[in-house]
Amino acid sequence: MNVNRDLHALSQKLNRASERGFNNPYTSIQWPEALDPQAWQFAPEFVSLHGTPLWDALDEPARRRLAFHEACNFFSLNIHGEQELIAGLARRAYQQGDRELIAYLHHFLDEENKHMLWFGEYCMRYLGRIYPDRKLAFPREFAAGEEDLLFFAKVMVFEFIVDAYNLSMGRDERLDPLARQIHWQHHVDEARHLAFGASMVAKLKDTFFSQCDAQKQCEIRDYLHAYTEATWREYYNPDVYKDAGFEDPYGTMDAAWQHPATRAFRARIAERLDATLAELGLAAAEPA
Amino acid sequence: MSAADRDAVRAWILKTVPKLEPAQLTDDTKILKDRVITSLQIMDLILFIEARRKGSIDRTRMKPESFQSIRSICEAFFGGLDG
Repeated sequence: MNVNRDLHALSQKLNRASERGFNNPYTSIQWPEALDPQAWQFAPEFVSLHGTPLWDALDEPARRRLAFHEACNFFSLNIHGEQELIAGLARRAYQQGDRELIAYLHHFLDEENKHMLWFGEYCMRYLGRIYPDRKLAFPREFAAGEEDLLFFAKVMVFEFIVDAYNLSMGRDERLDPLARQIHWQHHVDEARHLAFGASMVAKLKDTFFSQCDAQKQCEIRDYLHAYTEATWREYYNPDVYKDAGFEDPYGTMDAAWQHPATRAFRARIAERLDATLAELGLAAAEPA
Repeated sequence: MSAADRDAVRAWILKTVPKLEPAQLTDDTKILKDRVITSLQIMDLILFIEARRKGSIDRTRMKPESFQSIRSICEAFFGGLDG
């Protein structure tokens, strides 16, 4: 990876912000022995069944129970995403020689590790486990520069979606204070990660697209579109529906995924992501 | 596994990859190696298998070799082609 002057200056600025916001993950959050069953652990509008007849059929305690499992799913899918992210960042940290960028990648790693610690503590303490991952990675061949571009672009896609949840729920007074604090602290760090990620993706995309043909560019855009769909699928987890008492968790998953209300919700949440991908020239079906 | 399971897996692949001609897909077609389906579609395939089995898949069976072909999928998750 080559580093341009803009990315160097951005890394310098983000390093200062990360140093100012540095926190001790073991003391920054106080963990109650048990959660208040009356409290919302996840905002109802963000529950995957919201807006569907399945949601309408639930009474208030069942909605709050489902919201707790949705919170655990959100934290679990973040753990899985961040495991992959940490491995990829660590592998790339010293592939180039810019010391400001290296320093920022260390902050990035540190902050992602703290997030995982909080998500894991919440799930293990209150659910007793994390929800397992259904993604599988297969080794494949990449053109020079392609793997780095896809890695940072996937991180950006994942974090844009996550951050829309965090930004809203981190300010939602209806939420249990613990859940709200986790979302807010996550958002504060992710805002820096997103600024860095978008800048990195722009640089890697310009370099890679200048070397590849229109067909490969189209493949990259289509891949990111498919990755976005796959990322969204994880928000509709049959394990959650099973734990929340649904008799047909897979039928519930399909009904929720296909319902117009949830399609509209996903489109609304992805507005910033879609705008950024379009600005970067990475939106699917965009002319080469 | 029953012929119905094999037919269901085959139908899922053909539905997921509409450009694939049915005659091109045998029980031994290398669906991953030949990139008939992508790694991003595996999660959907896993969910399809789980729905058909009416339960989660044992995570130790979720390895690339289990998803190489219709035959390997049936062996890993439905008791084999002749089971």
